[in-house]
Amino acid sequence: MIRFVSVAALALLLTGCTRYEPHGTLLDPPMNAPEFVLTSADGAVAKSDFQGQLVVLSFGFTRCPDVCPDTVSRLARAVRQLDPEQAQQVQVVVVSVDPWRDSPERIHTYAQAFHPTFVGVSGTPEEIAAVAAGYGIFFERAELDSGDYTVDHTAATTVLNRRGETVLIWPYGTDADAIADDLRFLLRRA
Amino acid sequence: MRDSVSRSVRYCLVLVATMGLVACEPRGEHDGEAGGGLVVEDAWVRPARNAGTGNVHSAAYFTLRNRSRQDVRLSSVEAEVAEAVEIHESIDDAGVVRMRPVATVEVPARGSVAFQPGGLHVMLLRLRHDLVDGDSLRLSLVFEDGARVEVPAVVRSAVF
Repeated sequence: MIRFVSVAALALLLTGCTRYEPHGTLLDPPMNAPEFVLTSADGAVAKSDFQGQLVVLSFGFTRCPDVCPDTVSRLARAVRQLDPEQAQQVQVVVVSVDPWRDSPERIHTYAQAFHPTFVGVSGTPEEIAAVAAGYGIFFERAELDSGDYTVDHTAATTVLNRRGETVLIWPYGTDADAIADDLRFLLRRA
Repeated sequence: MRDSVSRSVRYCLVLVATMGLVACEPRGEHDGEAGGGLVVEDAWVRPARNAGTGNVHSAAYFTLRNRSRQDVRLSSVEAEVAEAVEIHESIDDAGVVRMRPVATVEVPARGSVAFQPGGLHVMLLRLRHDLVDGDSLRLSLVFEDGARVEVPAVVRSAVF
């Protein structure tokens, strides 16, 4: 009996001491991230609007049928897994990398189709280029034979902590459960 | 003993007859399976809203299983729901995702090819109407040898 209690106590102690290993790449210390001001359906959206919240930046475009909706729907599933109180402290912002075709209304409507709290933002090609460069996001138009074009872009998702610093990066394909785990970890930590 | 021999003969006859039927099955339109032993499994399409605003796209996914002894090539896909349909592939190039059209997709003999998020997919361009979870639509897969497979595809979000 004494042995059982000792083992249980040790197990509890070890559990308490276990360090959480994030699924994404943790930046420790976090890295300064530039301010941005882009436009959503309801007007200007700035990074500084979200001080005190975790900001999840997903770069994509509305005519992307595969990777972008895949990523944003994973984010939506992850946010739905959080407690309402936790979810309120997370803001997902979908930034268009197709400023030529995505109006602020179009990208915002797109983002909201995945989750009603998501915000979609666009801007002029110059504004988008500046934000993408500031966050290490590559994007480039790729012309297709059909006369249409697609946009090649970095598919990673960036998380800013409550102070607006880059703290975590998820590669494309990170699953919703892993995203939810990492968000809970960052909320506990911040 | 005689019973056992006659059972074996009967079994062989049934087997030969079945093989004959399989070999003779004509190529043509089938639901999810072509006469040549090509099976389309788990076809699904991503939901899409606001089709009325124009230029709204979606993507279709499925697994192509080729049970025959010959390689086959998927050359195009048709769908009433979209103004144009193209086969594309997303390629993860050191973190940068590039999407490119694919002319044909070879399904090796006794092999399979998966169309899945982040890889091969069928682009449904300029949707004629919204695609809502639970809806069903039809895809026509056209193969290089002329075979055509009609497949019902369900509208649903990806399962991770």
